Amino acid sequence: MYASDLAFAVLALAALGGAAGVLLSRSTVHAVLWSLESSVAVAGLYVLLSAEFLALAVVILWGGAASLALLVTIAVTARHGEPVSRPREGSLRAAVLAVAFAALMLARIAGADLATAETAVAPRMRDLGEALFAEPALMAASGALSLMLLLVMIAGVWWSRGGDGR
Amino acid sequence: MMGGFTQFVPEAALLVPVPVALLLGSRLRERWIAWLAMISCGVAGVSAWYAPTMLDQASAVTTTLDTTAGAARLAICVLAALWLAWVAARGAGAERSGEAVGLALLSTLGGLLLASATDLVVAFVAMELTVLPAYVLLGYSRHDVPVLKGVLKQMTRSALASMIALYGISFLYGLTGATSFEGIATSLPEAGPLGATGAILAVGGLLARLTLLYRCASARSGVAGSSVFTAFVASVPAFSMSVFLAQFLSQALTVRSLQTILVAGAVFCLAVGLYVIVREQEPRELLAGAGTVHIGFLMAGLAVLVAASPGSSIDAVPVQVSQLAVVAPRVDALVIYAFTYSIAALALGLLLAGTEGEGPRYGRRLAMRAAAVLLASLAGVPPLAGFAGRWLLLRSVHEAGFGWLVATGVAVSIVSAWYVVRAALSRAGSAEAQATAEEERITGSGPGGWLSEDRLSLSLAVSAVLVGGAVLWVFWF
Amino acid sequence: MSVGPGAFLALAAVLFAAGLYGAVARRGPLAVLMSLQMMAIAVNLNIVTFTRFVTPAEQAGKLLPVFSLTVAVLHLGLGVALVSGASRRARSVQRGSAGPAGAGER
Repeated sequence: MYASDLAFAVLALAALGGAAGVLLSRSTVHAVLWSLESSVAVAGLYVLLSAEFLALAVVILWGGAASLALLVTIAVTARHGEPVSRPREGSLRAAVLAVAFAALMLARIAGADLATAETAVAPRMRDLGEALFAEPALMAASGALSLMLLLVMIAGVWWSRGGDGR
Repeated sequence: MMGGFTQFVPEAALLVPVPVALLLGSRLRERWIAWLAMISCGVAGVSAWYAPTMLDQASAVTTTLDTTAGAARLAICVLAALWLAWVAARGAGAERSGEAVGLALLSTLGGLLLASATDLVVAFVAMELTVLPAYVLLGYSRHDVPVLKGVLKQMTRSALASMIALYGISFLYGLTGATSFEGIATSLPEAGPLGATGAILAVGGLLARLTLLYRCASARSGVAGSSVFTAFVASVPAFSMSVFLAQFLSQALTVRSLQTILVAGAVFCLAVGLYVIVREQEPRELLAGAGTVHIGFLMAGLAVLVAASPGSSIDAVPVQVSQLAVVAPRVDALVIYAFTYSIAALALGLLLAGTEGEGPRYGRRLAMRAAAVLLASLAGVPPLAGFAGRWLLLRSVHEAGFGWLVATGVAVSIVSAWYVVRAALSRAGSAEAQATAEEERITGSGPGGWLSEDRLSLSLAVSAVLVGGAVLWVFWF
Repeated sequence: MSVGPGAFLALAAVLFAAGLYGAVARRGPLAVLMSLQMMAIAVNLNIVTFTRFVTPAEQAGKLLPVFSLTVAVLHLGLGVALVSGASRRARSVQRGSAGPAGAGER
C-alpha cells in the first residue's frame, strides 16, 4: 500500500467527517468550523492531485475568507441573550433525494470507463496564466469575473447602508 | 489577435456608463444617467449587429458571431434600452436609480457575452454575470424586510441550480477533455452513460435557473417588490439564457435521453402553467403562469434541437454536419419566440409597475387595454407577435416528428388564451366603472405629460407586439 | 499513486449529495449557504480530479477550477451581504424605528 493511498483515506474521512459535522452540529459557529475542517481536508486532496496552487486558493478563499465572512455575519446577526444555535431539523424528502442522487452518481461512476493513468505533467500555475491570455473571450470572461466582484461590493454596500431613498 | 477584440465593442460600450452611474449616481440627475445608459445600449446594439461583418472569424474560437447570435445580442440591447427608458421617467421604486442602472448594465453585459458564447467556461461566467445582478435588483428596495428574505430564498435556490449545472459541466469537461461546444460534440459519444448524465445535469440545472427567473413574477415567490425589477429579470437575463441554451443544445449535445427528458418536462410545465392560468385572475399571477407555459414551449423547442437520430441504439450519437444544418432554422425559431415573449413580458411588468405604489399612474382605461393586448400576446392569441412566435416554434417541433406535442401545445394555447382574455375583459369591465370616479385624479398625469420616456417605451413595446406578428408573417412565410 | 480517479469522483459525489441534503432540508440561510459551499467544494474536487487524469485538449478547461472557485465564493458573499442587511433592517423595524436607518446604525 502506498503512502498516498493512506493519505487519501485519511483526507477523505476528514472531508466526509467535516460534511457530517456541518449537517449535524446544532451550533452555527461549530458548523462553520466543521466546514473549515472539510475544506482544509479537500485542499489536502488537491495536493495529492498535484494542484498546489488551487489547494492554496481553497485554503485562502474558502478556509479563510469565507469562514471569516460567515463568522462575522453570525456575530452581526446574533441578538443579545439568544443562543447561537438552532433546533435540529431534518427532512425525509431531502434525505431520499440526496441518497438517490448519490446512488445514481456512484453507480454511473463505477460503471464508467475512466482513464486511470495520471497525465504526464501536472497542470502548473504557468499553464493557468497562459490559458488566461490564450483567447480574447477568456480574457473577457476573467473581466466578467472581476465585474462580479464589483457587483458583490455594490450589493454589500447597498444592503448594509442606511440611505434615505431619493 | 487584435481582431478578436473587436467583437467586444458592444460589451465595452455598455461598460462606459457603469462607473458614472455608480460614482455620480447621487450627484447627477437620475434621468441623465438613464439616458446615458440608454445611448450606450443603442451603441452596443448597433455594434453587436455589425460585429459579425467586422470580425475575422478565425480569431473567434470561444464565441460565435453568426447572424443568430448577432440578432440575439441586438435584441438584448433593445430590451435593456426599453427598460432604461422607463426608469428614466419613473425612477426605480422608492430608491435612487443610479445603482439600479449600473446593475442593469452589468446584467445586460453578461447577457451579451452569454448569447455569443460557444465555450462552457465563458458561458458559465457570463451566466453568473447576467443572473446575479438580477437578484440584487430584485432586492433593490432595501427597506422591505420580507422582500429581502424572499430574495435570499430565491437566490440560494438559484445558486443550488447553478451548482447542479456546474457539476454536470464538470463531467462534460472531464470525460471529453473539452469545454468548447465543438469539442464536446466530437467526444461526447465516447463518454458513455456518465457523460450523458453530466449533460442532463447541466441542462437541468440551467433550465431550473431559468424557471426560477420567471417564477419571480409571482407574488408567491416572496419577491413581491416592485414590478419594475421583476420585468427586467423576466426579460434581459431570461432571454439571454434561452438563447444560450438553444446554442448549447444545438451545437454540443447529442444525447437521446436528454430529448426524452425535455419532452416530458415540456408537457409537465405546460400542464402546471395552464393550471395556474385557469385558477388566477390577477395580472401578476397570470404573468407567472404564462411564464411557466413559456418554459414548457421553450423545452419543447429545445428538445427538437438535440441532434439525435431516432433509430440509433446508443444514447449519444456523433453530430453530423447535415444535422446542424437541419437544426439551425429551429434555433432561429426558438430565439424569435423567446424574444416575442420577453418583450411582451417586459412591457406588461412595466405597465403593472406604473399602476402600483405611489406617484402618478397611467390612465386606467388605456392601461387596461394595453395590458389586455400584452396578456393576449403572451397567451398566443392571433394575430399578435406572441402567436407568430409560437407558430414558428410549433412548426419546428412538428418538423421533428412530435405531432402529439404540437397538439398539446395548441390545446394549451387555446385554453389559456380563453382564460386570459376572460380575466382581462372582466378586469377591464370593473375598471370602466371605477374610471368614472377616479378619472380626474389619474388620467394623463404622468411626469412630462404624454411624451415622457416611459410612455414612449411602453407604446413602442405594445406596437411591436401588435405589428410584430404581421412583420413575422411577411418576412418568414 | 494507486488511487484512481474513481475514488476521487465517488468522494465528490458523496460530498455533493450531502450538500444537496443540507441545501434542501435546512431553513436557516447561513446553514443553506454552508451546504452550497460544500457542494461547490465537491464540484471543484471533481474538476481538479479530471484535470489531473485527462489531458485537456483546450486551453479554456484549465481555467474552469479557478473560475468555479471564485464564483462559489461570490455566491457566498452575496448571500452573506443579504443576510446581514435583512437582519439589520428587521432589527431596526423591531426597535420601532420603522423608517430608514438613522445615525444610530452607522
